[in-house]
Amino acid sequence: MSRRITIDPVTRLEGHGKVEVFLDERGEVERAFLQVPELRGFERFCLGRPAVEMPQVTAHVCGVCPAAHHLASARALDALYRVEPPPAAHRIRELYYNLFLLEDHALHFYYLGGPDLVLGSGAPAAQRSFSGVVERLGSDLGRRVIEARKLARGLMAGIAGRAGHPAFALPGGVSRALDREQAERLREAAPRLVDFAAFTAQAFADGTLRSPEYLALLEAEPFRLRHHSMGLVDEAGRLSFYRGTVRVVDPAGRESLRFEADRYLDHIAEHVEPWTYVKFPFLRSRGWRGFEEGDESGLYRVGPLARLNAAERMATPRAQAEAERLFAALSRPAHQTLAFHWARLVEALQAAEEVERIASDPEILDPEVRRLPEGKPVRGVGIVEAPRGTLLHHYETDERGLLTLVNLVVASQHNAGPVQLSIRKAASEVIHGGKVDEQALNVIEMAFRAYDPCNACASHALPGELPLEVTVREPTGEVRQVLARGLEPRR
Amino acid sequence: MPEPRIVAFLCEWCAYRAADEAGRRRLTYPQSLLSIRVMCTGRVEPAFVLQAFREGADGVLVAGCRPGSCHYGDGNRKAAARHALLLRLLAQLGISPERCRLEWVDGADPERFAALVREMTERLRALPPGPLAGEGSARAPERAPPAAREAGRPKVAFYWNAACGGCEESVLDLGEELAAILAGAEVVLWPLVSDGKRRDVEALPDGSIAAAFLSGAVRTSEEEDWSRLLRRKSRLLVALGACAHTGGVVGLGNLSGRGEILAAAYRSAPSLERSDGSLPGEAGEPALALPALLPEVVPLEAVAEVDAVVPGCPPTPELLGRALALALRGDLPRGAVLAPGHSLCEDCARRTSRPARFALEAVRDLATSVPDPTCFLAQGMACMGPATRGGCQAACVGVNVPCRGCFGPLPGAPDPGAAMLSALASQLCGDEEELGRLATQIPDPAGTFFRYGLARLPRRRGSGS
Repeated sequence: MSRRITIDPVTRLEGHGKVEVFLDERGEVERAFLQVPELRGFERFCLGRPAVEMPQVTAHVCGVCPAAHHLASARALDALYRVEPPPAAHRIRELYYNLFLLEDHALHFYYLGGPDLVLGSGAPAAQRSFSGVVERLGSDLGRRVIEARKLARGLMAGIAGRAGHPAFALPGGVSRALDREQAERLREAAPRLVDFAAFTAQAFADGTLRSPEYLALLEAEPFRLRHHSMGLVDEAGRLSFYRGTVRVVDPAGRESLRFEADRYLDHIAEHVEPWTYVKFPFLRSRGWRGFEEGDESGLYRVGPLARLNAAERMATPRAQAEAERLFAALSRPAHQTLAFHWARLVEALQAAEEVERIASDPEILDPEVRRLPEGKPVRGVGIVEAPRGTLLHHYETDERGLLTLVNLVVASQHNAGPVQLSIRKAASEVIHGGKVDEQALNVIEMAFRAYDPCNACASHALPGELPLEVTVREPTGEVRQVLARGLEPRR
Repeated sequence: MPEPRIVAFLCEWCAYRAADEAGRRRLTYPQSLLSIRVMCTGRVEPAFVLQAFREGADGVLVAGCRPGSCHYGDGNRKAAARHALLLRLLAQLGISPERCRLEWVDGADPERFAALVREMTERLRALPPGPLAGEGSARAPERAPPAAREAGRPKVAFYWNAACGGCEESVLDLGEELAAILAGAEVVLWPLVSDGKRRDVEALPDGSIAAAFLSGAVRTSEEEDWSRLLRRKSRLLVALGACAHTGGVVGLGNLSGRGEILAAAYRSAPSLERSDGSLPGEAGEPALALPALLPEVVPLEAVAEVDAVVPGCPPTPELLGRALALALRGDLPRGAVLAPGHSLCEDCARRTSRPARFALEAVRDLATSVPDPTCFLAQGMACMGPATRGGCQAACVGVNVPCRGCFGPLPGAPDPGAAMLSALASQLCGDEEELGRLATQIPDPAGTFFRYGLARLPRRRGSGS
């Protein structure tokens, strides 16, 4: 009879998440699962709706990254209606999107992942929070972080109507041109955002890269996973968030695939397991081989570190310098799961630099921001890079533009397989002879938190950490030991 | 089998007289009719029809004067326009057009009236028995606990059901203000910030939480249980955001059955490796069981008595900050909807261009046209503004996109979807045939007028539920 360990609730994807670890009779890890126990059914209930409503409707998939769904949807509509938005419309969408990425990434660092990295896994639970980070890195930091979030979200609302659940992207462009005043505010704010992103990257380097503990963790076995990496790149092979070609590199860093959004079905398939509502994508060329790592595995990772691996270079100079620093320290491609945090800061810097570049482009004031579709809609696939990885919307419609098929492959889904593995691996490393302690808890938690799975992402902006509870049960189901963390309400 | 129940809205000038005359002449027709006299078919709002279905009618008959003979000019023409659009909504809800009829009956033709009722009754008998699906939970909503007083700082809880997290993001957007508001309170549950353990909440005495803010629709059995638990423990239960308030976008799931939802994700998605494996929820191992989807999505009020609502998708931080402060001071009035009581139109920059009367000869579509900077309705674009509560800071209309109604109903007008369906249809021009054609140009009445309120609509259960 085996024992079972439950971690509930953990994170948030479409709702909630729960970890189950099964031990064998010797108390060694037999199996581990991250379950996502919720399904809202967008693929079904969008059918019959006009496709043009999708950027708004699918923003409701996630209140944390509505911007990503909004724009993946808009890209799918551009393709569906075969209409290329005017240059200014692309610029406006990109501006909004880079602001969003910057805000989301930076906040992940300060609120969610940061405490692990800056303070170390041994710090007392009460300190492992945003305020702990602020204490370590300097007292005016807290104000600076809150201000940066406010600034970025204010600019987003100026472009899209509101910061969350935007409404401005339409097939063939956007619904409103930028006015001079907005453009001026953007230009004025951009250098501050770049400073903030650069400062954050530096704070990370100062506070973390010099820490022997972090460096040891980076290289520790539970936090390594050899996988393919996927991400969007532009025509020059540079990392792109908003448009481009999907590039996949193998665990050795060699390009193994490059495809346009509308060919995704040739390359990606999804596997279903009966114990979770999440589907597990894998590379068709490798086939489904279960939850295994390595060169032959069809699993791949997406998200910040995978994007850095998949791109030939960053799109902006300062981000490129940071990426070089990262690869020099970790080798290329990097497979250290905890380096997702670092890669996130490299990307935040690119996003800030992109905001600055685009804001100073006079083209953004061009009043022509929408081209009307002329052809009949048939099929459209749109891909953007959400903060957590590649996000794909696939629509098919009748000739009136009413949806007959909706397929969404979301970022946290691509990573679902690797997350399973990371959890199993971490648990196997730290749980022996049935002993589970606080340290084990930390390690399991850190292993999936690095991915910033969307269920966790809502935690970004508040001090604190993911609550965790591990229950060790006797074979009879009786509770033998309870370990809990993050139980003290904090503000 | 019981006789089908038909609610009949009969025009005073014709159909009602025919019914009266039929009785006087002792013509026989089934006693299935509940007659309601109206001054004109133009008085019959789609909301009445929906309410009749909601209350268990098997069929609704609207009968009035022939086109061209309306005592008020064009009341019956408006009725025809609304009917054309309403039928399309009912079709989306799985309600057969046999159940909702608009007929012209002369006052001097009681024979026809009797024949019509006989025929409609026969047809209803042939349909699968109604009534339409009820709410998703068979259990009555959980009631508020008896008033309790707790010493010490007021306890506050946040939780989410079938939600996207957008409401919580909006709470976080309060920034430093949030810390100030919560300074005097004790947060006992907030999966974002602190622990989300159910056991700890269960251990609290009933009524000991001052206010619980609950976002999300109720989609799974687990969410229903959480809602009931928080209701028992809390003196105030606040529905946070559109999904908790009216079901929100998640409510669109009620257009399909559970089986169809699972099939779309795990059987027919084009990217599946195979389409015949086990479905989620069929793990067979109790430890890996998943919470079941309820037969239907319901708003929070269907499973727990709600004391107050913060509407919106998401609510603005301003509204949230105010709601939190009031709740923690104990000043939140029961039944309050914490947003302004006026319609969105009052906040819309386009309001000055909204004509008092307008006539639509065409319906426009956002995919293929660029809106003018004038009232969307006057341009023939569906906009929920007039029937929707303001308070959203006119975000969507501000970027040239029509309102879809996330802030929910106005005070005293509980069914904004039906009201706007009626309002828009009533502006359409043309004869019966033309009205039918224009109605088809509004392709998705359910998703357009009930984007955030579908969970409150009557409907037939989808297949596979």
